[in-house]
Amino acid sequence: MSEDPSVAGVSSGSLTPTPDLSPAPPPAAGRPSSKLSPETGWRRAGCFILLLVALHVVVGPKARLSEWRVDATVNPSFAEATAWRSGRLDLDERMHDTALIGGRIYNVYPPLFTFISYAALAGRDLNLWVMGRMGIEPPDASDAVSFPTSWLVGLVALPLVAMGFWALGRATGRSAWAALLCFGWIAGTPVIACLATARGGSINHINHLLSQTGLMLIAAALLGRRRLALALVGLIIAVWSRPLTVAFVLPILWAAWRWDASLRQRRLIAAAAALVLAIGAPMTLNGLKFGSPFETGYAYIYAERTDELAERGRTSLFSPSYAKRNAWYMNLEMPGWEVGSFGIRPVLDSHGAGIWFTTPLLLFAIFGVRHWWADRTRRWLMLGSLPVIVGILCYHNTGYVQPGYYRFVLDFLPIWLVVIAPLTVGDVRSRLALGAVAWSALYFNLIT
Amino acid sequence: MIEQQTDGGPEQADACDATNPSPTPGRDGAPASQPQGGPVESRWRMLGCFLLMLAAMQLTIGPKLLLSQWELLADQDAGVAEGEAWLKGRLDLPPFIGGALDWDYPSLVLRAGENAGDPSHRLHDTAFFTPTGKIYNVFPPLVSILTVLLSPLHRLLLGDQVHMWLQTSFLLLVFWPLPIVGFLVFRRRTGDSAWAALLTLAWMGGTAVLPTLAQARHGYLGGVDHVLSQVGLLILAADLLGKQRIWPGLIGLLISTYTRQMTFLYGIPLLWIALRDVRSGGLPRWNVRRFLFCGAGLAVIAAPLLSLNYLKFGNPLDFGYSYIYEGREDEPMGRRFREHGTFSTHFIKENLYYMHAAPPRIGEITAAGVQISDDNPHSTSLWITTPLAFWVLLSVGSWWRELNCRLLMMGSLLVMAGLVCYHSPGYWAAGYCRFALDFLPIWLLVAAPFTRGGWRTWMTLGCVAWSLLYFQAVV
Repeated sequence: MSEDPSVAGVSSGSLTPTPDLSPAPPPAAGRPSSKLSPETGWRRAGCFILLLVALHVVVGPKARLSEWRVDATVNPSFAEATAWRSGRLDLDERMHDTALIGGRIYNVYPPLFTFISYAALAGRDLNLWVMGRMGIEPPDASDAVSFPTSWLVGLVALPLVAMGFWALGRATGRSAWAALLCFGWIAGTPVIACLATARGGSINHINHLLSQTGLMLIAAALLGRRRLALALVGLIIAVWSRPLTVAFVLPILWAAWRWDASLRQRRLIAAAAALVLAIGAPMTLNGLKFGSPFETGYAYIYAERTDELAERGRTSLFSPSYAKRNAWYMNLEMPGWEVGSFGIRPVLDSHGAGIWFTTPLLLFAIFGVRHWWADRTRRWLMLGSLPVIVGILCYHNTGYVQPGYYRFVLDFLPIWLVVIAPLTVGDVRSRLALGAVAWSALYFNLIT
Repeated sequence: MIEQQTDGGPEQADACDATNPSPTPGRDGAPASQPQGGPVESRWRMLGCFLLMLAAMQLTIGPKLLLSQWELLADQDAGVAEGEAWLKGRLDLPPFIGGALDWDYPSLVLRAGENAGDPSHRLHDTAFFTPTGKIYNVFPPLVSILTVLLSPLHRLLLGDQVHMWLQTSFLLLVFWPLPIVGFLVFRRRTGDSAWAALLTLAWMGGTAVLPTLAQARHGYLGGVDHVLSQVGLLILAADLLGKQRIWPGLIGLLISTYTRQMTFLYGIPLLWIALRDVRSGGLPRWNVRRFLFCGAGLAVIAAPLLSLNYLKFGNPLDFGYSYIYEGREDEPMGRRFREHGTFSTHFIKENLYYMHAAPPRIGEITAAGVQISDDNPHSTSLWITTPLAFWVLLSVGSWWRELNCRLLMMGSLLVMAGLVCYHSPGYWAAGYCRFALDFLPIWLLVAAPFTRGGWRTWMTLGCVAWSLLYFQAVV
């Protein structure tokens, strides 16, 4: 029988994350306790497979991966990739949230999915060429303007699970608990809503999903074995899909400065280069499309639109005057409830719902502030999320349309989750975490 | 950490997780099935595990169950129709005309003037008793009895209607006993709420219970009876593997027999356990008083069934199954019945195959998963669909030392023997074996304490994951 308090909560012979009844001090803030006995690869693999099964059963019917489809009529980034292949920057036709400037239509979304789409289309061409050389009949030409589903699922949806499990495993040192938290992250946060909506090719939700992988990579790299290169890759992925996440360069720069004095110069140069790449590519595209590297084009997406959101966007994209409304939806908005012969169902506001209500696991970030503040890396990661939150609060859009959830929280939620993960283990905290995960999974299952 | 007070042997230590109390698979005569002297879980922990189990059920099998859509109507369920007929002072059922029961009937022959045995004129699987030209329910009578007992409530709340159940009473009596009784019984057997929650989830989501629940949603009597019988079997087994007070076992047997008659065969181990009293912990001693009490209880259970048979078909031993194929002789099951009778050793080979060896037929395969085809409606191997059942074989050395486990398992073999002689292998059961439900709860409960600890935990988790995945593809 293990008496190691640091492994309280997960019995040695059991995968079930049953909370131990003994009081357990929190694991050393910063990274998992060194007293933890190393897990076998088989155990990690087993936990990962069980996680996949749980996700398949619970999230699968919502995500319906086999039905994922992106084409150039609904996804501006994919349309942009097809335009690039035609030697143009502007799009053929106007679709939702594209910029209209000087009679030309442009994509305004960050460029990662455009790059991916371009690579996928190039890969498809290569495949067709190989098939032609081998005398094989090419597939139906009607598929020519859609993104290959297997690529889409493989690049957007599946990395989430692997990266989340890895990052949370690094944070907790326990595969079973990491699997549970990863399940909570995917099934009990707006991630599941994004998975469900990305099916139709929504670029907003695809970008959210891509950014999750990048943010998890940053958190795992900084809190795990200190691999700066991975953190930089994560930063590029995150910034190229959700630009506000550029604020997480702060903990990365801090880490490059502090980790190892002998490698400081090289690390700082690498971090600076990655930062230049992360913001340089979108800025270059801005310059080419809109004439200024600082013009994102967002102001032009409301051309010829008269709705309330467009009015706000034309007034100002970012303004402190939006903070009150946004803060309400982010933190305090609660869904109503309707009871009838159908059972119980929430009455949802399309501008969002409070993150503390929908994902109470995040309360660990507040109640565990002393623990993560005591660890510099965690502290910097959490501080890095503050500019992101400020940016979100000042944005002219609440995140609409997001019935019953607040999707912008995904711009910092993975970081928070990895930071607080060790705090969720032990005695009462394990039970609270289990309850919070169960609540969130049920809630998001209901609204998605 | 909790200190465990183990007084079992090394095998026990191996079989049970270190943090949990364990049963003592002791020698003959020891009341070995309940946790012995181990730590007592707090009620809060038990409640927490139960709530988490409900949450897991909602997430995994909730979309299949759709509890808000459950309905039980006389027009779909011969049991409710029979209950309504009893309330109207009759034993026979009305004909089924135009998609509804025609209660304004003296006789189908007189009204329709056509072939009285036409199966489209009666509810599915009801008997057309040719000597009298009357239609009868042949399913066991629990749903009929409950319909009568609930009729004052339903009359009050549904405006003098007895042809349907209130959804709340349907769910409270048919669905909710499953997770509650399952959790409590598995908890008593394993001594650990978390493990009990997992096994209950596996039992409800990873066995034929799930498809039968999905059938019960529409009020199909076969599905409702299977679901109800599960609770009876668990109560019976929990008593025999626990405190052996006999009367709870009799109640469990009554529930299971009044929904699945074959399970009356568990009366034999019940009777033997009543006679061989092992509660003292020493050698078994003869207890004639308990034996007589148990025998009387069995008679009380059997008498109404036999009486109903006599009143309907003129013979207490005629359950009426031979009349359900009137006009359906050319259907697959009708043909088998006509050629070999209701029970025959002729069916053994085929039924054994479907129950134990028939592989699932794969239907559509997509990136979202695999669908099980309904090409084979005659059942699919319970070992493939619910590999958790392998624990009964793997732990045979452990449970064999418990007299009551031995007797219960032998009782389950008797039930299985009856099932494999039946003319239907379980039709309709595409992708699962519904007849296995007549013994599977017993097996799971017997093997439950031996399913965790080291590699056992992993194997159990793997089996549970497999079954949950599999039945998602079936339902």
